[in-house]
This record gives sequence, C-alpha cells and structure tokens, in this order.
Amino acid sequence: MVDYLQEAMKQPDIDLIRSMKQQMKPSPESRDMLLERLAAVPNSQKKEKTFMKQWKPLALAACTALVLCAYPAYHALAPRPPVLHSYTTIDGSDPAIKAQYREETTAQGVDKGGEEEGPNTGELPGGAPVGIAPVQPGADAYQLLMDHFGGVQPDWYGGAYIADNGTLMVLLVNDKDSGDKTLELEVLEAVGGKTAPVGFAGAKYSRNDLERMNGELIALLDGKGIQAAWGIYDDENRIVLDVGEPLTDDLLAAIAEIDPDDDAILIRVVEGQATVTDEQFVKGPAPIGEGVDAPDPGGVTVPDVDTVEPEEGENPTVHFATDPGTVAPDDEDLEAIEPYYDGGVSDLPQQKLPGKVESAHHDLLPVE
Amino acid sequence: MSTEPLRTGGDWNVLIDRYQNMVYGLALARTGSREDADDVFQEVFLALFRSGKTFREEEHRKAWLLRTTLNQSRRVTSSTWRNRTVPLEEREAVARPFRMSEENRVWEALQSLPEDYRLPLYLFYFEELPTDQIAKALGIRPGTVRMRLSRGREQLRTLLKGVEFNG
Repeated sequence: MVDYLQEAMKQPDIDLIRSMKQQMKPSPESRDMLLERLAAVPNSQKKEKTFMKQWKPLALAACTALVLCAYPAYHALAPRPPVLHSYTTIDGSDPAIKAQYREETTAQGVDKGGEEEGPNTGELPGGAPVGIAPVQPGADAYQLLMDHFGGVQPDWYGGAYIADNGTLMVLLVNDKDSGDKTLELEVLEAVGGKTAPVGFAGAKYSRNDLERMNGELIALLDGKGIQAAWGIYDDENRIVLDVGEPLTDDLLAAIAEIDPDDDAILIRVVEGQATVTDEQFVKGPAPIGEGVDAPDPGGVTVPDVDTVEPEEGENPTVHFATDPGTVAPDDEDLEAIEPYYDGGVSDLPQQKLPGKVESAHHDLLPVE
Repeated sequence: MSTEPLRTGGDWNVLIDRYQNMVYGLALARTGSREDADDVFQEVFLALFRSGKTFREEEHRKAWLLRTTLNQSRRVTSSTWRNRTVPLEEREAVARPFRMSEENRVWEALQSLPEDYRLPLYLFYFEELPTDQIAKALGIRPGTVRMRLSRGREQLRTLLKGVEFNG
C-alpha cells in the first residue's frame, strides 16, 4: 500500500489517490446551500469585524496606557507607612550625663554670674525660681522686652535667654528678619538703648511656634501614663522631650506630625534609671509673664495612679513622677536609631554664646 | 491549481472552486462522514466570509482554511447530535464513499488508523503538503510529523498486506 501510494504520487496518470480525490468534493446541494447562506449573511456582520480590526491597535494602546498608569496610581493611592519622629538614646547612668543634668539643674536661669542681690520678679526668662535671686542686667533687659511686647510676642521673636556673661540673647527668626537691623533697633530701643546688655542670634522657629508645638505635646502626652519631661530650650530654639522609655510608633508618628521637619523637638530616651524619683521629673518653665495668655511651656506627665500633689511649701512647679513599677528597658541596642539632629543649634550665628537650660530646667537626677 | 491571490470580497465561486475539495477532503478524513464533511465545508467558508480576513499570500489563506477545517470538524464530531442513531443504509453509504473497491479498501484502512497518524498521511499523500505545512496545520513540530508519517505507513502496510490493486 505504502509503496503503491508513493508510486502513485510519482505517477499521477495512474493515481488511485487522484481518482479518490476527484470523488472527494462536496455535493452540489451542499454547495448551493453554502451560496445561499453566504448571500443571507448581512453585511453588518462583516463590517463589525472590520470595525473591530481597525480599532484593535487603539484598544491595545489604551490597555497599555491603563497598565502603565495603574502602577504609579497604585503607589500613589496605596497607604504609606507613617513617618516617625526621630529620637536618641542617652545613658542616664553615665556620670557625664549625670553631671550635665546636675549642671542644668543648678544653672536655672539667673542664679549664676549675677553679682547683685535683689528681689526676684518671678518673671525671669525660663521661669526662674520664686524668691530671692541674683539680679543681672540681662534680666532687666528681658523684663523691658516683655513689657514692650505687651503680652503679644511677634512672629520674629524666637525667644531669649541670658548668657553666662549676663547678656540677654534675643533670637530673631531668620524668615522674618529682613536683615536691615530694624528688629535689632526695635529691641534695643525697647530695652534702653544701644548700651543695653543685649545680643542677637538667628533662629528657625519663633517662640510662638515652639509654644504652639509645646501645647500640642501636652495634649498628646497627657493621660498616656508616660513618664516624660519636656520644655522649650530657648538657647537651642527647640523643645527637648525626655522620656523614661522608648515611645511607641503611634506617638512618634503623632510627634512627627507636630514637628514635620524633625528639628523642633528633640526626643531623648533616658536609660539607666530603674525608677524615677520625685525629683527626677520636674515641670518645665513657668509662663513668661503674668497675664500672658501663653500655653504651658513645658510639663511632666506621670502615670495617673501615682500622681502626687505637691506638699505645702514645695515648689509648685515641681511635679512628682514616681512609678515604682517602671523599669528601664533592658534593650541593649537602643543607641541613637536616627542621627541626632542639631540643626537648631548650628543654624544660630557664631556670636551665640554657650547657653544654659533656661526655659525648661530638668531634674532628671536628684541633686546631691 | 492556480495560486493567483483572491480577494475575499471578490468572486466567491472562484474561491470555493479552488479550495472546496481540499476543505471537503480533509473534513471527510477527519469526520469519516460525507454529511459531516458537507456541514464542515459550509461552515468553513461561512467563517471565512464573516471574518472579513485578507491574506497577503495565498499560502496564508490555505493554511487558515486547513486550520479552520480541522477546528470545525472537531466541533462537529464532538457534538451530541453526531451520536444519534444512524440507519443501516446510511451507515453503509458512509463506509463506502468511493466507487471502486480498491479505493474503499484504502480509505477504510486509512480511517482505521488513529487520528494522529491518519491526518498527517492524508495531508501528505492526498493534499501533497510538505511536512512543515502539515506541522503548521496540525500545530505540531515537523519532526513529529515525520515520525507519525513513518509509523502510519507501517500500520497501513500491515493493514493492506495482501491487497492487490488493479491500478
């Protein structure tokens, strides 16, 4: 058979296959029916196919564009992880840290460098202690400046602090300072002329900005049961927040919203203190002046269950933050997770003198 | 057979004349029934008309018709309607579609082969297609076509042993 087939392919004249093929054709009835069916097919069917064929490249292009747009749109609409505020960890048991806090504690405002003794007005910058305190020229200048403001701090005012030499350093907000010495002249005129012991420095944030953020911090941390102390550091033009244990991501995200540039609030996690004594957390600076409707410039939050009211005769600005159950985290790797940001300091001009903790005096460690 | 290109929208009689035997023969080889082959023949050309396809070369049209014929044949043979009861006289007509006994014997032997061997043999010997075009029509590799042709020939030789043809 196969040989025959092959032979038949070579010799078509005797081809059995050709004979078979001649018989393999549709019946005349089938062909007539096909022609009838072809004639009955409406042209719209064919046109529809042609229409789709013409639009096929456009449809493909549209699909491609849709896919290409869907990817960035997904990323734009997809929920992003919250931005967390940075914080740094310091070792509270380190003698150097202890000494630093001790110095800050004893350096409260005007108790250093003054030669004259006089009545304390109680309205010195940074909330100086009530009672007898040394008098220094810068303090008088500060009072005059506050009187000049009349309770409404201008936006160009970034705060003020008294330097070691008794000079009142007034911070001028960079964005508000035109540079034509107008602000300097206004301050000098307010404090008694060019001979007044006043210096100037630049700053990023106004005192109003810092007080607003401080108020938001109070609202955020109040009632959370977090051992924390914070206040406005005028010499650093920022708020320093000390906490006894790392903050949760939710709180860090909330603080990041308060401080979007991550440089107005310095969060320090103080480790190495198993418990917090009464004197370790103190309230921040007192209001700048009587009658000034300014937010609480600083504060302490303590667990509600252990809140102790100050006893009679005790400094009313001191709050207690005792939480016997508080144990410092034993995480050994809590070194600064994010770089310490010192832009607020570096932004200040060179004439800025070494500052002291003025607005908020922290007593994280007991004074020995 | 002329290979002059034809436009689908042109004279359908010419187009049908040129390809009707190829379509019908392949449908007959695939279905084994003249009635089914008639149905497939009509459906294939209707599909070509409705598609509005244009072909750059006549070989493309031929390949398209072969593929469509196989697809339509598969659809017909898989339908439940085909499983109907066939009268005895009709069955006789199906079994003997050719005039000469030798032709019917060869056709019966070819139909008894599995489809994998039957279709390559039909396309190779009856349609005179090269292996690469058979491979394209059946959707298999050319090497597979050659292997099936070889095994199909062996089975045909066994089935037709002792058969004498009058030529």
